[in-house]
Amino acid sequence: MNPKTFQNILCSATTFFFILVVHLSAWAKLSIPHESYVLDNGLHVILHQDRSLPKVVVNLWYHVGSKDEKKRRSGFAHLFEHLMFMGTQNVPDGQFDILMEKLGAKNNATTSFDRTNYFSWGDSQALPVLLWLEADRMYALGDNMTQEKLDLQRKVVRNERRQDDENQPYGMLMTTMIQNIFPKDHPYWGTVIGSHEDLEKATVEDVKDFFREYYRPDNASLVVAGDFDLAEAKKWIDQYFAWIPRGKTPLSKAKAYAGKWPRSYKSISLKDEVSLPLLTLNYRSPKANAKGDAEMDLVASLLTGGKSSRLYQALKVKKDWVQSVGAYQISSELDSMFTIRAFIKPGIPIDSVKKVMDQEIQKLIEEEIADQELSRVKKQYESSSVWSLEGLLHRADELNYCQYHYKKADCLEENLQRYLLASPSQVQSWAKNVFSSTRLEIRILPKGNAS
Amino acid sequence: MKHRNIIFCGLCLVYGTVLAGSPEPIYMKEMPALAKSSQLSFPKVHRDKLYNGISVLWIQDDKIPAVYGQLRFLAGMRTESVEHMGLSQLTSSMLMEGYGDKTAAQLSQEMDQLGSDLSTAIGDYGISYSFSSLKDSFGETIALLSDLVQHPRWDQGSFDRLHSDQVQNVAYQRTDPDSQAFEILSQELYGKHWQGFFSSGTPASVKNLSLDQVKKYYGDFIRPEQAVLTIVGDLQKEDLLSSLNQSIGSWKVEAKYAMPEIPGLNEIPKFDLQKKVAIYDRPEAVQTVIVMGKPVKGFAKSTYPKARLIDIVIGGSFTSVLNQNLREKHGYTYSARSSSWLHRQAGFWMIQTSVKSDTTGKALEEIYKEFTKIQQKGFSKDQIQKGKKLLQAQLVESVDSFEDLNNQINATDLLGIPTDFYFKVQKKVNRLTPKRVKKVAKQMLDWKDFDIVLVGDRKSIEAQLKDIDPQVISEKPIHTAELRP
Repeated sequence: MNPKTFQNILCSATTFFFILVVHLSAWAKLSIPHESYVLDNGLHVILHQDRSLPKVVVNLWYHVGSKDEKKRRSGFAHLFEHLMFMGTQNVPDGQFDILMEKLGAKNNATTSFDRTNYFSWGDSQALPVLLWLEADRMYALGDNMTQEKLDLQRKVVRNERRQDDENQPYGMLMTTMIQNIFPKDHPYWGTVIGSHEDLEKATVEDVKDFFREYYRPDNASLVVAGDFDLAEAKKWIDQYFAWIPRGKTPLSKAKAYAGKWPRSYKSISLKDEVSLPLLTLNYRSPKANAKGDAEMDLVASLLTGGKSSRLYQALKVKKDWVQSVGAYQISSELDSMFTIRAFIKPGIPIDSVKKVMDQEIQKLIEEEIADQELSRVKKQYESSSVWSLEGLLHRADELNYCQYHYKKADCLEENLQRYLLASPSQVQSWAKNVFSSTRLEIRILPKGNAS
Repeated sequence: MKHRNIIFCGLCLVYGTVLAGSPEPIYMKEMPALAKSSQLSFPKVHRDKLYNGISVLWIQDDKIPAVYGQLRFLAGMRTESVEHMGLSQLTSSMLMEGYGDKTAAQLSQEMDQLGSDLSTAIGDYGISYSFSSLKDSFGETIALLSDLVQHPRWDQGSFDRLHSDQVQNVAYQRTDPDSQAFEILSQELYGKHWQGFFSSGTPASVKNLSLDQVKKYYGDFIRPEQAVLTIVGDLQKEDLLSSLNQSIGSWKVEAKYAMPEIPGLNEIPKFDLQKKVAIYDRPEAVQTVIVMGKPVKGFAKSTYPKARLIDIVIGGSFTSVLNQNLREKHGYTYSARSSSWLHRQAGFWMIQTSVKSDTTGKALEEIYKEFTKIQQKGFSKDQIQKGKKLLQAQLVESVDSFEDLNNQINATDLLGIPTDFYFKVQKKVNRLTPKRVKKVAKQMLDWKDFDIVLVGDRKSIEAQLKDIDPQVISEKPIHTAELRP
């Protein structure tokens, strides 16, 4: 049995964001063939046919995330994601999953700051049913919400928080990071999972209001990918979705943060049931797909991507001071975060590790980056772009990602070029820009550790 | 019902009927008919031999212009002694620390330049190198792999660092509640057999591992005579074999080689028949991790279809018996599932969930009730039908990516069954009925055979165990578990 490792947890804390980054850079020569159109009710439809396996994917993005939550309702967008499976009149309680699994199909959903995606997949024969199920809940879920359903999923979500955050070593890192790097009035403040207190406050009326406002065809995009006949798929989409009316109320979306950012951050130390201290240095960074976003991805790779990377060499090879070290650009629509994390070996002063991190950051800012070093990093992006197109589920989500961020289904080439065209001086300049900004330091220390 | 629905929907389409006062068409009231289905079969596996006799099992697939493969050696955890558990893991890490006079950093740069990836991993029965590359750099990648596997760099500094990393990984696992639960369950089920350990070892077994042991392990097992290559990707036979023969194929084979004798290598573990409830204390934990496991015989073609079908119905999907009860009915957990670990020699079947601390006793009672109910009444037709469909769907997933295909080839090869075994066995699965699986279900769900491990706040757990139906604990003694030193 192969157990968890530090490397796993470094990755798992950022998996969601990292996957998006990798997908962004899909190889230009490998664009995803597709056909897209808009229904009269505003629903964007993207079809990608691939008949190599008898498998279909239905991927639906609602353009609402935790950033759009009302005050004191943290976790609501994610709680709502759970409620989307709780049934309508046509497909009563619990039947959504039962019907799907009877056909051998499965589904899941994820919520981020910016959007909520629902995806189902299965044998190609299930496609009309998958579309019907999505359309049914797009129209009817709100009217069928009950206190009982809400109470049950509230319990489940609170258990999800306990399982993934509170009962996990280092599990409170992301929450601490988000709640401190962003000001309290920033749309990203809080966490996607929400606080127990706010989750307890959610009411059935909140659910109905949220549904009316955000779960509507003119705030969504639908991807159908896989083994289907194009004409048939269009017919089904028209049949199941075209009659659903546009939303009637105005959409209130979180806007770019215009408030004041802190001039400095207080360092934070937490105690946890952990074996090694964790040091993280965190910065605000350029938002997703903006200038500087790709450059900061490249900076992350220069610092910790592979055994020849700068911090790996400095902290693991020259000095065996850390168990693992990772850097990530965590990109989101309104603002992003850049983080460097190191698990520090016993007996090594945390400040010594921090000093080396600072030295390497300084070198990156001051000394010219060799073309060869940057080319190697870019080559990995090119390669991972090809691999990111391997799975049908990924491709479907990629198309919706492009539709959301670029307002067109095919953004692959444009995305990759952001990485390939970044010059050493641009990368350096963005590193300087980000690393010179205010920094939030978080330490998680083993309980009983005096330092 | 299904047939009537189809006719009904057809009428709706023609007349475009809508419900009074609602824009919703009447046809939305009924589930639509299914689309046409197409057939799926496992892709053809080509079998070739390199000049030095290494077997190559490969699949041609041009979905993307890339290649993924594994070079596997028969070794793995089962070759390790209890005293030195963790040696395979450490050896596997050491094998990525450069080759010849090239350091790990130089190796990493070479991979980056190619846009390729090389890594090592261990399993219970094998140690393997995985490689992935774009189609155009396959030849160079495989040449790099060949150098890496034949000329590892035994640098004491690298070893010391990796050794220290592994010691810390073991320490980390022992702070993670899921890992704690699995490790204790392995101990309870298998005792000192290798299956009772984690691949990273225990603090005591890892502590004294040396570079000499790693070198010996390499010499004993990482050899062409022990190697099998599996490859999936956008390749033509001539190019593939030419690249392989120029690299891995020239690795010199020793005719006299024999795998070292390992005491108890093929021994079937002796299970402790006294089943227990083991509590591992995490004071004030907000959740309790519950894992329950029972030993099963090793993989057998004859028992596989029924056992797999029962597993998926009990805990293999969202609407499984366990998840529906513990999550969707009671809200005790975020998820509950079952899974099985099957080897040739032995295996185990396991239930796992994390529940809110104060619902530990109730959750155990619910699992007990569900199992007892199924033992008495069997499964419904719907449950069995759903299980069949989910297993059918898993076949598609098993051939989705190059890595999936590779894993299928390797897993079936290690079990000594045909690569398309799971595809063929689906026909048998599809013939199963609730009646035909009842006997096996009764055995699988027999409560007395389960070891129960609870990782959470001991005081709270103990208090709850006193209040629940005594049948849940039955004859199982409750004890406080410790992880091995």
